[in-house]
Amino acid sequence: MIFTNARYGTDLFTGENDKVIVDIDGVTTFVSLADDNWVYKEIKKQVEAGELTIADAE
Amino acid sequence: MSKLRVEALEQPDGTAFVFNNKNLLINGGMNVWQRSTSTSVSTDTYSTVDRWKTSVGSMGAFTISRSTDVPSGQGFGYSTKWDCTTADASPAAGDYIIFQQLIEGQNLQHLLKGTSSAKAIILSFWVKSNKTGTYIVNLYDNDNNRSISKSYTIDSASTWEKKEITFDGDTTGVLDNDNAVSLFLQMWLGSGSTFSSGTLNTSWESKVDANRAVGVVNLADSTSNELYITGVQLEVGSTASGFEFEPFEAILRKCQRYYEKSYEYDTAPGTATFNGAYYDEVGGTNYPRIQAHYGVRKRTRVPNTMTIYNPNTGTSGQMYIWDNTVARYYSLGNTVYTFTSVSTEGQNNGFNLNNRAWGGIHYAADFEL
Repeated sequence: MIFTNARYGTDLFTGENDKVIVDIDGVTTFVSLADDNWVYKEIKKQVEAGELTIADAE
Repeated sequence: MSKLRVEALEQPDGTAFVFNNKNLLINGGMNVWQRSTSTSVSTDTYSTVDRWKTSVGSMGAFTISRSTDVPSGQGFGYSTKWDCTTADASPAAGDYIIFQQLIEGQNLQHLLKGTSSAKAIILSFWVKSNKTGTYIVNLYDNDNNRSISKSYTIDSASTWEKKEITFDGDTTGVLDNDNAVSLFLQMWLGSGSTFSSGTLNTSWESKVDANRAVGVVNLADSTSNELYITGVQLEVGSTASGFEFEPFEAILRKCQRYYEKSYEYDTAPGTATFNGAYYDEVGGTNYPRIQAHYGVRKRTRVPNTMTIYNPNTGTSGQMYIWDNTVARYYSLGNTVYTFTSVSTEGQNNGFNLNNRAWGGIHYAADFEL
């Protein structure tokens, strides 16, 4: 999976970050911030490796 | 009251008959392909056959596809084909190729793992490859960090062979009774030294990566390599029974616990079509909102990923609005998804919608382990 254009998305009611909005292989997708989420784990790996940056929520 | 005592029931092939849901795996007959029937894979991903994770860790690239090449006379309609498209004859230490399925702990309690009554389990499957040699199957207990591996051999090139592999019960490490992954079934098709430089752990042990895939071939060492697999069944006991053939609808329903889409079954997400799309009246607001309820509602987790598509164009991250006579495309704003539904709002793009405007979306939701 190739992740590009990553930014945080917020919860409608709390305003806190609850997702990453990211293009996965060119497809714009919402990714939940759950620790057992296999996609979020892949994103975190790339962030920790310095290969991906997640921008603040708009 | 009369009673019927059943001494023995046999399937047509002479193996013992076992009643429904004996297979711990889902979609072992490679029947259901909701995402795509052919995809290039060079990472860890769920992108092809349902419930099966295709993991290619920096070790070449493969086209994974649905094939009608199946063992003759066994009743299977499809197999999964791995076709090497980019070779890697010299993998780095941490590289790997794995075809795997992850199983929830709450579906494994009857294995009695971690008790003195722990049950053996047996894996059976059909496989065919031009790449003969040793392959590895590894069970990994994710709750207790324990592992066991067994090898098998593909003896004849490009010939369907049936394999049966028994794993002893493990008296150590109780599996969690929840909806998280407890057990990985990993069919190794290649590995670097990180996973193969030790001694194969043919008994349960605390996981040592170097012992997990010792001796495995490298399916990525040539673009001529291909491998087919079907009829994968993991069941309690040390004697394999015949494959449990289920109605397509039953398999699809099981798969939809882990992935579902609004599109028709044969339509790939991102296709421009209104068939299956969710609609709502959105007039009178600059923030049109559309809600879709998933087909399978009794979940206990929100989706890992949620993708919204414009039905008119197939574009992701967008909703479609038909405003009287004008088609408008709204980028997505606030989007909330729960166990049961997704609700998404279009960003204000400055249009004043007519009162009889309507909008539509498609969705694809991934709940995989």
